[in-house]
Amino acid sequence: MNLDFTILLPYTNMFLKGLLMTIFLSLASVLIGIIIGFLITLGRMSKNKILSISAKFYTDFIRGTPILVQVFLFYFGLPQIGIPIPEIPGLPGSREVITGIVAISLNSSAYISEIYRSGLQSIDKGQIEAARSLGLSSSQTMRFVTVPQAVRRILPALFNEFIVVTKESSIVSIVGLRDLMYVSSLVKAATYSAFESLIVIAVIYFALTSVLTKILSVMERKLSVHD
Amino acid sequence: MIKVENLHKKFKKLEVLKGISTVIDKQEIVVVIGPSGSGKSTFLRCLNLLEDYQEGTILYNDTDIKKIEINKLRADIGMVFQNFNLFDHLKVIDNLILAPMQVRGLNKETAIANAKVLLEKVGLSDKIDVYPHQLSGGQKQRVAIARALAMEPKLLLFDEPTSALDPEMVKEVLEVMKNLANDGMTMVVVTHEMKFAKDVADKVIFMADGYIVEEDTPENLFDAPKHERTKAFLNMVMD
Ligand SMILES: Nc1ncnc2c1ncn2[C@@H]1O[C@H](COP(=O)(O)OP(=O)(O)OP(=O)(O)O)[C@@H](O)[C@H]1O
Ligand SMILES: [Mg+2]
Repeated sequence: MNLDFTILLPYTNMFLKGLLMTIFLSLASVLIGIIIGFLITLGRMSKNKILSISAKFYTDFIRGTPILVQVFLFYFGLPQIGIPIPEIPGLPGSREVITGIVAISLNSSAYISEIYRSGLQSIDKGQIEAARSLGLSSSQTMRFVTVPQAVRRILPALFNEFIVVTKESSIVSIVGLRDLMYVSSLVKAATYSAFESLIVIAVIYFALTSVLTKILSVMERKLSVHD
Repeated sequence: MIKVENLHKKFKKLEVLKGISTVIDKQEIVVVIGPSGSGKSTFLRCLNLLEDYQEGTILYNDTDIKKIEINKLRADIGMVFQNFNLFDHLKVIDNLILAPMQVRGLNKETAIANAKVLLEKVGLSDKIDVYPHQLSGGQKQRVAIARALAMEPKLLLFDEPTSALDPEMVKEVLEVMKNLANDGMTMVVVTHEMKFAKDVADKVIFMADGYIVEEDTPENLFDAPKHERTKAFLNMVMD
């Protein structure tokens, strides 16, 4: 088989744009997921049974269904039940981007909520008892003992979730969001060479996650100083 | 100072305390001994309401402790745990000033000044700025004692404070506890250190199966136990 990467050179800019879109999509989704995940965790820890059961169902449902199904549900389902996803005037493709961010961030929020929960649960019960035995209230104990220690475990896990999302977000190319994955199919169609463009995006994805993984390990080292 | 009357405690169906009654006077050192699972820890933890109980009353200065605001009660009754339970993310000094500032409302300067005096007392002035993971077990426990003292408690509860320590570190912790006793602190100590009980206790309580089998001065209880159960236990632990 003959591989000729030079035919891709005219498309360098498109690949770069696709990469930027992938990074933007992942970053936006994880940031929104961090907020939604927080609300879900509050719901799960709430004494209100209805809240905690719905929050648990939400995370179970998201984690128990394929992300592709979720993307289609949003892309085709929402307009059908009367919630059209708007196209921002002057920004072609923004409808797809919004769908992508909504789908990925909701998906990610379920996983992020689990990250928060296990982070909080990982704190040694003895320290919580010690705090309570000193007369600290449960909210003071949360604020001064549990959360500061949980954050050290949660931050690396959140960053890892970002790495996962940079890869998994490629799924939204299916609805026409112009991320790295989508660019490769455009280029494939234009050049009639499927293999080269796939190799290029594989290398780009791998380079991206390698850099991020490196950052993660530095972060883990910095945060574990006091363990 | 503390009066316990007919205390019953169940975990679900399992009855762990089956009617405990005793009195702890001001400045008294009470040592609690007994076999594993007899309810010693549970009894101790009822005194500061880390455990709830179903029946009976505990009076603190003649007031039912369930009628006292729980965090006020706990501010008055300190506790030292077998596993130290220091706050891992905080330096020694910050372990000591957290509760005084948040619960008693001390300002930082006062809290730090008090904490320094206490660290001096437990012999750890040079460890003020280190994190718990940089300390030995004995040092951790001394910090935990200082942390409890920083709240200026009226009563200190110790649950097997030396059981998690290597033998060579037991002494330094017992030394600190002896000094506290000499300073007039009121203490309830669950321990297997019989020598400490003999030397320091005003009263020894022997518990088995959720009952107080016998309580007496250390002289009487160790040298002339009245109950077979006590004799058997002492024979076992004293070899
Ligand atoms: N949180 C709990 N839930 C259920 N059962 C418990 C709990 N804590 C203690 N128990 C049970 O209560 C009984 C008394 O336990 P406790 O810890 O008070 O004994 P102990 O005298 O302190 O024993 P040890 O010397 O081993 O520390 C044991 O049978 C124990 O299994
Ligand atoms: Mg115990």
